[in-house]
Amino acid sequence: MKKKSDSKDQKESGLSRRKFIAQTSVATAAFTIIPRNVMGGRGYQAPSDTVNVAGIGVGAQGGGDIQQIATPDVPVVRPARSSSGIPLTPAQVEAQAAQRAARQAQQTGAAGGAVANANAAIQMGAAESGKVIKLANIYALCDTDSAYAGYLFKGYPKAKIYNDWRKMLEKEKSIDAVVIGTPDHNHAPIAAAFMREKKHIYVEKPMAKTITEVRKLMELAKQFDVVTQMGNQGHATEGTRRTVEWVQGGVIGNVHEVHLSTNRPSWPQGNIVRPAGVKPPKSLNYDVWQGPAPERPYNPETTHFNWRGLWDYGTGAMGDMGAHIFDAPIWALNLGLPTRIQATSSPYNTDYLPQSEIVTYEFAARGHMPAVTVTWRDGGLLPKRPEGLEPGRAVRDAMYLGDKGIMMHASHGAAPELVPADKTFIGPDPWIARTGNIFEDWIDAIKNGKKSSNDFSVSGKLTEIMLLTNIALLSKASNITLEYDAVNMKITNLPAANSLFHYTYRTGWTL
Amino acid sequence: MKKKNQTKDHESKGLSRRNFIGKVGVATAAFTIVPRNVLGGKGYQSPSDMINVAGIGIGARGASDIAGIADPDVPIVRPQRNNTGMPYTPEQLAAQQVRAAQQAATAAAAPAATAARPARSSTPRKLANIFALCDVDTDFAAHVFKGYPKAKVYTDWREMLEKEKSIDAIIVGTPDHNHAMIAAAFMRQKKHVYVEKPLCKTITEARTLAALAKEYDIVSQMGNQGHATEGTRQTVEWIQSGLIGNVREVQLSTNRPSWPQGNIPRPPAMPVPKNLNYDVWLGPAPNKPYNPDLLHFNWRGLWDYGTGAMGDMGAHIFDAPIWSLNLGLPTKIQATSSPYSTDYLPQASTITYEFAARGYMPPVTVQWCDGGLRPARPEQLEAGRAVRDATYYGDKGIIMHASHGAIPELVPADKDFKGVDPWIPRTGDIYEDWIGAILAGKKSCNDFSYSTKVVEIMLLTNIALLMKSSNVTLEYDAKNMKITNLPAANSLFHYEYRSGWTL
Repeated sequence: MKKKSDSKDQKESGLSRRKFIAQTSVATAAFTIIPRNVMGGRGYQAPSDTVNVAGIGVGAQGGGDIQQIATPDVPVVRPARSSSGIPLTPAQVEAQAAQRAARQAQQTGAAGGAVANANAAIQMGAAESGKVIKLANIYALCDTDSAYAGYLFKGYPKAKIYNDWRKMLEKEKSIDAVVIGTPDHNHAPIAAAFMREKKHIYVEKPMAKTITEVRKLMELAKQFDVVTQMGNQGHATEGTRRTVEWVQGGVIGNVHEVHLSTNRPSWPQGNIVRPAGVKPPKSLNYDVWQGPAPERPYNPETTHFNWRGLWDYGTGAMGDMGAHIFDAPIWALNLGLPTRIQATSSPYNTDYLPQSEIVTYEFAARGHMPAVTVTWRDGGLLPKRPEGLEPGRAVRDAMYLGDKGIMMHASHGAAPELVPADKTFIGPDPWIARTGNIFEDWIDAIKNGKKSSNDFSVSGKLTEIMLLTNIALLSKASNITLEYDAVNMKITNLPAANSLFHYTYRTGWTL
Repeated sequence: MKKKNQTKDHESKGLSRRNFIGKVGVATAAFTIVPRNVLGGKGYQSPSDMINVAGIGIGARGASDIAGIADPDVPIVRPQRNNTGMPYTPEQLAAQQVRAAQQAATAAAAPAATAARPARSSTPRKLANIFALCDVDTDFAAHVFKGYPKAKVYTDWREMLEKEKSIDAIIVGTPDHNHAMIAAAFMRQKKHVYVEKPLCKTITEARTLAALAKEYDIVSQMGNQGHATEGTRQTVEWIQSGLIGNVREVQLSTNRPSWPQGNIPRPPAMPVPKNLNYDVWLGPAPNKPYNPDLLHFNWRGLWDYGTGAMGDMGAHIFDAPIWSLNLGLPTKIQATSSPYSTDYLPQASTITYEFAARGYMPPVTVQWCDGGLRPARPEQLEAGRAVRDATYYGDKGIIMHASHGAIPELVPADKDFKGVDPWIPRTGDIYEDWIGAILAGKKSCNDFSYSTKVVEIMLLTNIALLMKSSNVTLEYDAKNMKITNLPAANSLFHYEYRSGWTL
């Protein structure tokens, strides 16, 4: 990867601009457009330009993120595509709609409805709610696949377009902040390169693919004093905040056991054959897409969405859903890094992660909170239904077993509920500040020179906990419960596992 | 299915022969050849003729069962075939060799994991006469037919049942969906039956088979080799002698399925090969198009024909806990799994059973997981020791053993432990046991009165799996064979047989 330092001037100007924004902005600045002519002078940056944001990897989730930063100038419609990025036929579109309807119909009861609504609201985002958003200026868009991301490029005709983030980094000195929505394996090298140029960073979850990357990103964020945010929408939901308040308010007493689960992966995983190589389409810069990953032949089934299931690019079900489901327990129970971890799974191979897994984490006592065991299940596996759970009520994605009661919530902390149900329960008075969503929070932090809510110092821990799963998975045949020395980033009882904290990047690419 | 009653004469002849055998046979009768001229008189049947055994479904597992009864007259070499019954390509063969080498290495590194299967002794065996062989696929089973050149050959068991009155006993090694119907038809003609696990595909079938075995007073056996292993017997002795105290929790697991399962599409229709009687292969199953990927081995993963990982391994793994803990039928059951489809069972599942107290034994929770999932390692298990297929948590200790009850071991290890004085008789393997029981006119060790309980416990899993989205822990009234808190589940105890086929 080409590293290039900005000129001193540029750096100063960037710095002063940030300081300026910090000094003049208030919490509501994100919604306030100050006319350009009101202000001026040295280091002047018109707030009407707001922050210049560049999106990298904007064809899918990243495109959604960009639309939550600023409503497109021209309305965009994302074409319906298969998980391999191929446009769907009308029949397939219809089938997909039917499936969605069936899934919604399956949601039963008030709690189910609440969960469905909460999820819908999160997924839909403000962008589709009709509200015009202008948190920042979409200055540039970069995607390795001009066909896949074409729909979004059209939405922001003023944005400069790139298919190689390295070129964009080199040429576009006016970028203040980047939103990274690439596949997992590219997160860390891109974030690191932009942080070194003092750009603020928003990275989709999971922050990185390896624990070494996570720790490097945390270090760089501190060193270059940039505002970071991991794209973990659930961190700012009402449900997550309520969960923290309930658990820390002692509603269910001391928590010794937590069960987490997800029906992901919804993409291919297991002991399956990697599809044969085909010629990459002209629209795709496959070299940049591969980034630090090992050089492998292209196939559409390994890019765009299904990359999640491959060790080379993704981090599996945990990488996709861990941030949404594990975040609230970590926050609510003030969890540190685990002391022990053990994984079991259905078969995997050198290409694909397993289709189902069960992972057991042990966390030490924290202050007045006792030691806690967290068990994660994916691939559709669920924990055992607790005795008190009424027939017909579903086990939710997170379930906390306390010595005075049980509570559950869905992904993103949505719709916390007691088990058994208690209609008279109101819950402790809210004490966590209700700020806006994580995009508002991030831009606001940039403007005010403060930390974002899901800063790398918070989200790095979450990501490290998530990524330990894959080390445990790859060590499952050892017949050992891994003991983790988090301070030294070492598995103390299985030396072989310590090679799994990172991997050798492809020549030409660095962290 | 065509039903045909035998003549009264034949019935009484069959009866008297059995009675005769019962009166003169002893446990060792199976190994004793009495010359034809020693005995005589009315109802006389020379034991030197031995029992006439017919095999049905003998291309794969059934062939081993037949060999467990009598060595082939002509040595058999089983052709190398893949899961679809096709001969291996050179690439597949090479891959197979790599796998075999890996398995050998694993076996050398961890004997307990692979010593599970009781190896049959290499001494010559002739427990009975292989009188007839029946298989719907003359190509797939050809190597077995050649091994027993004197056996009469059939492709349709109904025809064999009608024509071959001299058959005394049958071995059923077909796919699961055909087990019950075939066994029922032969039991009604007073034939003794040996049926491969899981005995049948539905709980209604299991109960019908148990009732028929009683009604027709024949000797039945489920093909569950582990029931007669040293390890299973030791496990029972260890547990029942109080070695680990009261057991409240048992964890069972298997790496199966090793065949396709999950939310995958059914393979497309293909023309039926001439060597296959597909109609009879389908039997009671719904009429759906043929594809080689459905037959021969991979049928295990389809709801239409198989019973998944539990159906394959449940009998081998759940049997010792049921025996040693004297488990009845469960009171509650709950299943969770990775996705399945209307065609295929899931790739991985976790099942929780609750069993009530039995005498002095407290209630026990049994958890099953498959698809390679393993239970959490017990705290006391030393680093490097694998979790075995069955782990018993007692209030005074922990025992584990591999499939088939093999190699019970304590957790943590105790080198001073000498075991428990054996009190369960060490009889031969389940083939010797079955033929011995027929000759002696007694019950076999894994008689349907016992093995149908094992099978019912296993098959409840699939009811729970199909009901997993109900968000209900199923409550089971075993006496009335009813899920009391989810009426919809009660349609899953059986299914509608294809027209022309009956239980």
